[in-house]
Amino acid sequence: MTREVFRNILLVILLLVTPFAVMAQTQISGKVVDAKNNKPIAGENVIIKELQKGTITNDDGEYSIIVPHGTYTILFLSMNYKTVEKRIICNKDKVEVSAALEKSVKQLKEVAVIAKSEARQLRENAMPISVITMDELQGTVSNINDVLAKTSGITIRSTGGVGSASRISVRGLEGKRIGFYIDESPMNENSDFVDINDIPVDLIDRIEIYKGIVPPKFGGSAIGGAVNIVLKEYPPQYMDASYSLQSFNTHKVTGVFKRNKNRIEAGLGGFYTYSDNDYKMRVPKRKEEVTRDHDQYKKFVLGGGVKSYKWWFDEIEIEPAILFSSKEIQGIEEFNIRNAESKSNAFVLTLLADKTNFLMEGLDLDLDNSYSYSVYKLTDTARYRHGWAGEITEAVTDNGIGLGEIGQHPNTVNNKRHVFYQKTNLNYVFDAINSLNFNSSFSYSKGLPSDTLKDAVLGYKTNFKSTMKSWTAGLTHEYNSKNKKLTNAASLKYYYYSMQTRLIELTDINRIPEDIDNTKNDYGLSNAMRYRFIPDFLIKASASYDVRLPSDTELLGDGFIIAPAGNLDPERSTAFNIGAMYDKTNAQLNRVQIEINGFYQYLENMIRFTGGPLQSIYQNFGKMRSLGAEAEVKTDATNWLYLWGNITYQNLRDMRKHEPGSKQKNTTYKDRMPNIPYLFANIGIELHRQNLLGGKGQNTRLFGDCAFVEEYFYDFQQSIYQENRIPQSVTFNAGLEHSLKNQSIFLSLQANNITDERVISEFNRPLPGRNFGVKIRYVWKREK
Amino acid sequence: MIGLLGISLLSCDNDDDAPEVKDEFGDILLSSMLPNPDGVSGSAYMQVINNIDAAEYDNHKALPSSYSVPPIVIGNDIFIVPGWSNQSSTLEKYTWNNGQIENKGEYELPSNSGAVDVVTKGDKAYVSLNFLGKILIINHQTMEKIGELDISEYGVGDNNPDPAIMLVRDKLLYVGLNQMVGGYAPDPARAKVDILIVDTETDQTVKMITDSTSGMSMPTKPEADSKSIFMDENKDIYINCISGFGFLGQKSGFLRIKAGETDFDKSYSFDVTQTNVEGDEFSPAYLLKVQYAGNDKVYATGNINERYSVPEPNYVEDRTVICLEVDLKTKSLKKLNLPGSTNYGMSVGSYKDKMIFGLVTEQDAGFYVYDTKTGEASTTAVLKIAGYPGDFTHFGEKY
Repeated sequence: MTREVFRNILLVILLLVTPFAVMAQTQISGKVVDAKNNKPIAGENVIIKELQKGTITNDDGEYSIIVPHGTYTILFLSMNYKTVEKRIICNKDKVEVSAALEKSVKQLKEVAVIAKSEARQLRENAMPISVITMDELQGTVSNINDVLAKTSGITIRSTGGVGSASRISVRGLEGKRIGFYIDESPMNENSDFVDINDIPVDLIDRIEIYKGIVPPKFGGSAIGGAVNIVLKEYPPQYMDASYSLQSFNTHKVTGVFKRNKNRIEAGLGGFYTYSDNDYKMRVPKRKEEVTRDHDQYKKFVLGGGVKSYKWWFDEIEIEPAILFSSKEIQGIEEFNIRNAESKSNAFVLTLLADKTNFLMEGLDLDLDNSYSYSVYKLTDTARYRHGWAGEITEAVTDNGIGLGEIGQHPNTVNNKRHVFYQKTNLNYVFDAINSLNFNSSFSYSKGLPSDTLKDAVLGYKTNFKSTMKSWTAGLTHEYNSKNKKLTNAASLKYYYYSMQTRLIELTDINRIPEDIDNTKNDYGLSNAMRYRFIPDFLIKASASYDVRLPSDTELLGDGFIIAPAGNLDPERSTAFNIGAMYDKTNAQLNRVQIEINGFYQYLENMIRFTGGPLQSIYQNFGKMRSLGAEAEVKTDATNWLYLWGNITYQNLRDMRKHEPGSKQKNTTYKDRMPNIPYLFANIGIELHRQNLLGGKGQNTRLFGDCAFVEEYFYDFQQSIYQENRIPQSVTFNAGLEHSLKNQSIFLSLQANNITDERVISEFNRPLPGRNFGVKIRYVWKREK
Repeated sequence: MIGLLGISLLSCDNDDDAPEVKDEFGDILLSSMLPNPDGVSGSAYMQVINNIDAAEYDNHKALPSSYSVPPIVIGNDIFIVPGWSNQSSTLEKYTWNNGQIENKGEYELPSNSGAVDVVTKGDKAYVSLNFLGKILIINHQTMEKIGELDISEYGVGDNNPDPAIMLVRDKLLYVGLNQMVGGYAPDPARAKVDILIVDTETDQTVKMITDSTSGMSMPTKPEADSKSIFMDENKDIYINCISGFGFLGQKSGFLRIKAGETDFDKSYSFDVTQTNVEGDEFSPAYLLKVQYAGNDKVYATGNINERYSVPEPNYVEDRTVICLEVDLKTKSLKKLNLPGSTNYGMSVGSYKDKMIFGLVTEQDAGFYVYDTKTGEASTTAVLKIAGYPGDFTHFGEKY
């Protein structure tokens, strides 16, 4: 590590530890008792509605929570008692709010719904889960990847700047093994036009990261885990607009508007992102240091929604959305690409509805229906290819068709896709202890690919229409003990999928396609439990025996170079997780959260890409074991200083003993799986103060964080002379957020990768160096 | 934060580790390859060993090589080229000296060159840039560029004739032109074989010769077989034509350019696809790798398309590769008593009177030994190596 890096680190540390005075805050405290017998109620939820912040009562029924000065709604929620809501004004150092609750079974469902919307409740449920509320990180991050990268067990592998493809790895598993959901609706099917990183952070309430086990109610199959982005629920009248300017000519504009009238709400929201991504990079494996100049990215999304509380459903909402994006393709290794670009457009229509006491008392219905039509285009028709040393080569067919800059043939890809998705969720509450949930997720997709120029050059058709149907049904029984110490969720899932497409057999010299039609089914089981020893301490344990269905890409191939693989079986996972969580607010009102988890996963029938002489195919033949641990600490060290940190060690090993169909031992048996980080950590600091610059209703927050990833190998580790390594990286980020007029106006500054560390992803994908951003955001809301 | 810095600093020490001094000696160059779980990328290694006694070798002190193309050995020189993969952009040169291999330098190739072969004529080295339609000429002593030959005008279907494996006979350079269009196979409708002839004194092209009668295409195997064009003791040149890796329904096999000639020998064509194999019910769709052994004998691996699983091939289990003794004169094929292999094991090299086959069989993977004098074949892999067997080269062999 160089002296310059040390100097930069010292600067950052000095900057971060600048002392801050105590901010203007109120300590709300009180006692919650049973109205009938005046006995204290332990484990009661106490939630500040506006802040989405909460705590629980201790064994004596007492609680305390610190909030900034303001006016709030405080909710007392419990499984067995009626909810009590109180409006309080916090303009003093201490406010006492106590409550006497009346017993009621009816409140159970409400509690369940509200509890699920609270980060802490989620963290305390039986599933292994990390929950990040945007309140925690807003101001330090400019996109979701920044948020996820700071979470234990998660690594992000971006391939470039804004708009570039990125892969989320949860405990070492990534890609198709990780589910991506927005408000519990699966987005993996829509990866042509939605990327997890697209969604502006201002629109997000929280991010839930399920590790190893994914609740059946989400639908789909994802054995590695799932990321669920929960969008904000806005007050009835609301406006939120922001603009940010970042390095590399990056502009982001976001807006949300919402009104209500006569129990009908209408909203409109969207965003526009533009970036030139013109950062400097060193071309992998070469000497050239260049500025990326063909990496422009544009995305525009506009969505609306009309929600009614009037009709038969409790809520029914229709949400149309349109998305347009375009991206130039930046050459990295092959050529200095000058012309190739991709575009994707999509139209999405979603209908959501829910009804409590559907058909019978205690049965709740949730419906999620969506249809999307997308068009993905890749245009790569250039006649000339530009090398990194300035050399230009003409690549053209005898007919004058340019062969493009990517691969060996030109492309005029025009892939159209229709996807229909239907999810039905039925939840029946038997009593305060038992509930049963049934979930059905059906997906139908029809692909209509086309690449006329490629076909013209090859002399035959290479893309064929395909259809794929999948249905997942899940049944979950939830048990909550009377004393609320034990929670258990047992689930059973059934999977069905079928695909139809056509394949050109390469051995068929006439190139006549054959019909491919395959159907399969499978099942999965899981159980998760949580036991709370005392209000501040609980343990979790879970196990699952589940599958990940092959994706359409794996099953359908591309009809030519990647052959369809109709016999592909699902990947089978056996996973265990055990964890403990300690969450304590002491008498000095300092909160400490410590969570540790150990995990084990054994993956069989891994789907791997295998190349043949000319044609490739996906096959089942891998086995992998992961064993790891992660720890996370968050603490309000003082009432102006918040510290957090996490560390993850994951040991992923190749467990295939023999070569497929052979007695030959696998050379890499028990070797560390390559190209997956195995040791990484994050730490962060936040200092906050109200009215730092004088005046009223202002709040200032200063953030800093540091991410560490140990060096790892791109290939299996074999030789002491091995060159393909992803170097160790230590990166520092810092941010400043200042809000005015009681959090109506936000101004923020960000500096990422402050020490200008050379960061490489995938061993050959250079990422941006030091970069900056400024942002202004205006929020207006009215609760009525 | 301090804690993290500690981790970082401790780990930084690894960067300063000096490589261990290599202490292996021998006259055999052994290479291996290991695919990554992504199925696209992988790693390859080379090391020297000193005999073919039964042994197992790991890659601990092996040098990284090219995942696409095994080391190209010319005399005592070893060249490493990136091939079709983009895992490297350099041409590296090593020399076998006193039983060890030493790095002699590298040359940075043009972007996405697809360099697949190197041949030398004195200090000059010719490098075929398969993706660019060019032949690069460098001084392989100084590793500096001398010039390049743009041969785009010889492209058929497009302006890149796809120069592949080369051979120097006397003062002429013979270059196999793959003539691929839009992918990794030639136009199925064009069953023709093109060879470009270059004068190595002037570094000017002499002419392109075309065979239109054999029904074959794609002369020389662009990746993995630098011996797919070779010269016998009579200076006759034989060219292994792989016809789109045997997937175009064309004939495949050998064509010949006789000594002193610069045109195809019209009297000679050896179609292996229509030749019965002694000891096997099927004929190969093409020959994967060839090793000339003198006296018209070639030892080769052949691919039997009929042994791919139906309807979907299983590339990691289908043992489609058989070992063959080929007689160029009688145009006959005889299957050797060696087990079938997947496409991950297909190499053949010579060690005195023995042929060494790198195979991935149902029972093991590694290098099998076939004695050309006695006809005895090892029943198991004699040399085992970590990963799949790459090439076997014994320095000093005539062919």
